[in-house]
Amino acid sequence: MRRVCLLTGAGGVFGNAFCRMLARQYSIMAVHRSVPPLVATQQAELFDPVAPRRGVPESEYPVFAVEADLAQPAEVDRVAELALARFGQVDLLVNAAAEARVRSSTTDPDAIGTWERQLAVNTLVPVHLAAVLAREFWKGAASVNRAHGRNVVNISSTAGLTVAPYPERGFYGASKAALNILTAQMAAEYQPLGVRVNAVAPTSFPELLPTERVIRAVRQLDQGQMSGRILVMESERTRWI
Amino acid sequence: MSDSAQSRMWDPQRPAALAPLLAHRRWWRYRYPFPHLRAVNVFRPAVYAELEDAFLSWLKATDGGTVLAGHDLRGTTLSSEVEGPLRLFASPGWHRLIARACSVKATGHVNLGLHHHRPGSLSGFPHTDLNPGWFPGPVPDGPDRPGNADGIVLAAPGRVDYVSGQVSDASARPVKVIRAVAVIFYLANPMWEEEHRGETGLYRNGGAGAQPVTSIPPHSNSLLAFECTPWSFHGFLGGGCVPRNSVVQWLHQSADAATDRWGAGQIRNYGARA
Repeated sequence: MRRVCLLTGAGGVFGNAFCRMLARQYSIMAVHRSVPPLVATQQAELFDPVAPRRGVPESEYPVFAVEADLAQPAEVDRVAELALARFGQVDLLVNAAAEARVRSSTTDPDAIGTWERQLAVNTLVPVHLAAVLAREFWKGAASVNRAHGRNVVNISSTAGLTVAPYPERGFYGASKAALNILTAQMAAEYQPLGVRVNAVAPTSFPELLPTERVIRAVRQLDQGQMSGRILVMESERTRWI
Repeated sequence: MSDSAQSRMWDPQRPAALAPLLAHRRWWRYRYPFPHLRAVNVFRPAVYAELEDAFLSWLKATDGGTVLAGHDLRGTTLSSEVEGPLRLFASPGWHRLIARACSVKATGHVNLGLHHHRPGSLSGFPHTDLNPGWFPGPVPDGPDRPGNADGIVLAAPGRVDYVSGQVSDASARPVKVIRAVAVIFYLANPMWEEEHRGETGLYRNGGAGAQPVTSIPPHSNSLLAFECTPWSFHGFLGGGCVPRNSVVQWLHQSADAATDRWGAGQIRNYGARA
């Protein structure tokens, strides 16, 4: 039986690549905002427009795509509920939804207004979604959770580790820095539940780092034993903190 | 590339000839709320850039063309003289690719247009596009028939009014066909954000107060296509803060085929509300 992965940010660069690379390995619930991932879903099959009657292999493992605006707290609850209703379990939660827009409050009068949403999506949603799963599914099943290697991977960023030389990135960086702290906090909090929590903090992908490397790092975390760690992925090297 | 090679590139005769122009070979076939196709990053970047340039040249030269009756949008219908990159959408290869992808038997009649919604354009109303259209005759055998790969007939508003069939050229011998497939190719739009609006809303029904159950953002170089049926309710979602640009086209089927399949009562005159 394939492991069940609840993935947010499925319409983004990371989410698309994750679905493409791992739909065969995981039963994926792919949560996206307006644009679904470029893969086969329960609502849509892929086909070749030049030879439309011929099947394509990518349609063999459709992901379960769910549209949701996770900045709305009720949507977070709905997503968790849907995942459990559809699959009966969640073995891996990958929090990849992110508001990546960068703005400076000194030059952009609308910047402050967008920060609330950025904070909600980048920082609060990962905690909220994991908490709902903990209360509704992982609670009271520590040994089973450990046996199944259940875990959370938050997709953070190197922007959360250092102060950027340009001001527009301030709040994005702050939201990821908070996510790093919360990852460590969650690891401690979820340890009694038998659920591990880690983060990956890559530099810009795919510009400076192949997206596939980030996916492989998430896969390794899912298959490993560590908890409370952040894997920093710069262009040339990786390191743990 | 020579002029003739360029000309051939924009007028592919068979779907296979489009393959080098496409960015990839994976489109989606959706079932809900009615069967439709979606594709993103449709054409290779260099091909898309030429399509966008051609569209923007038209936009600059015409300020978006004329206001289209019954809609808060501007546009134009392209005639058989269309040359250059936009010819692609009037090519036999493209016609056959779309018709086969939608599993329809099309006659080769194509209404091809350019649409420009200005910022703040009002939303349209949900409609099916299962409408008649008039073209200059005679009826071609259809491009899906062997040996007739050239059978594309573009709407000719200067000779036959597409909506009414009224003739301004006595030799036109108008023929009535029915829309079979609608295609919207979004291009020359800003990087889409939610507040931009301009999506195409898809509806389960067209009654009063109907709300879209899903919406397709107008990402540049993306495409929406669907068979026109009594249930293919869709409409422009307006009120955005940026323009929304698209190439639109309709493939057609014979009036007999449409009536046999859907019933005459389901075929509504253009602009009629559900």
